[in-house]
Amino acid sequence: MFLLPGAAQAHLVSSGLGPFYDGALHLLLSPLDLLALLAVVVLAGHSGRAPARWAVIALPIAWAVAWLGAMWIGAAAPEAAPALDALKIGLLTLAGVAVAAGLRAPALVVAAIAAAAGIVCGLGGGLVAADTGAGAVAFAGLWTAVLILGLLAAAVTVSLERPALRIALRVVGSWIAAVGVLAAGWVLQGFA
Amino acid sequence: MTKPRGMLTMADVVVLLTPARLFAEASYPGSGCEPTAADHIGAKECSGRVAPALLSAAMLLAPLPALAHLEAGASGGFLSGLNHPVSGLDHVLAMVAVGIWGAQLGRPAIWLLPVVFPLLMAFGGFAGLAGWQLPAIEVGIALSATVLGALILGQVRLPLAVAIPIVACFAVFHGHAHGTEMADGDSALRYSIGFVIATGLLHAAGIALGLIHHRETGRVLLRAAGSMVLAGGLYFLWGALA
Repeated sequence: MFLLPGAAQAHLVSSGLGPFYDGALHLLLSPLDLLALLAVVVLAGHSGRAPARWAVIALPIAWAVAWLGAMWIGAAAPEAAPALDALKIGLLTLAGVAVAAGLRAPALVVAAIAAAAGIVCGLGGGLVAADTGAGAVAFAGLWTAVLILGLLAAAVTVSLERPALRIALRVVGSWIAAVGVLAAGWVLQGFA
Repeated sequence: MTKPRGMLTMADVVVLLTPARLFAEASYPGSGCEPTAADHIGAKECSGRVAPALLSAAMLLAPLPALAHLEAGASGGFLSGLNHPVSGLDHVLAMVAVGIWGAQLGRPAIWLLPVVFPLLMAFGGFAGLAGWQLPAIEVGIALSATVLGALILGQVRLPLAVAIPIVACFAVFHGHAHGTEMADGDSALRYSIGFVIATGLLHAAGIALGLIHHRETGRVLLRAAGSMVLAGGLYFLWGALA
């Protein structure tokens, strides 16, 4: 419940630059989506080049498919938003813990996690978009932002090869996981 | 002791800016201005003084409520979370001490402790949000600074299998106490992000301080810092037990 207003608010904010940039700015205004994206991409980059390649392909595609599916379903299922938020929190916590623990996941597992993150984020955004009437141009802006941010984050993470930087990455993973655990607590309190 | 002519005192300023008096004078223009604010500063004319004073009074009445909303909305939760860990000295002492002790222990503790702490702190916060009660939380927090201060002071090099559970235990107390104290209206997720980042940066500050451990003088300074953390911890422990 604590997380719902933020998600809805993000889709009502206008950049004043048109629907494309409204969509592109969505990630900045929806920290849960942004954090889920970064967590998955950091895990992928931490796991190696091949997993990172799979992640930056699977995530945007799954995001797009889920968004379009949600638009097709329409605003009939807005009550799914809390469950989707809980799934995002679970995914980012899982990815954060894996990075903090220094685990290197196989490419297939990373691709599956990235696809799952894309699906839950896309579904959540699509349901709200169907409710608020956001169009294809807004989604194009969002999808472009997801693609570029995912590529950049994955590239940066993969390039961190020095031991000290790998350790810093693990610290970032622990921070992501910690935020996820706290967010889970807030959701639990809201639904209790 | 007589007041030099033309010198303003605090009493003059208060009288000059008293809205009731200013409005009373402004209500009777040309009435001789008796008594006037100008009398208090030894000037002959009053009309030129009232307008600026009125302006000052009006500025005092400027709409301050906007400040109350400074941290609301999207950035509010993040800034609130970012500020929360540094607003309590007990938390600051313990976080910095974790970094310093990690630096004293060297690798891999120097980075393992700051990795473990946020996770367990978040678990403590989760426990608090889920309604799981922990006994003597304030005592646990005070003990964290006390114990960590003593460990730094004594340059105690515990094995990793012992150091991590110690830090993890204290992290749960800190998370339980501080991770759940969010102001009304803040975004929970943004608050959590700010809180975790601030805690991590405090660890980083402690590690940065602890890097002087490689020098002889640095070791002495760190022990001095440890004694200060210990003293702070004992102070908070006294308060928690009193």
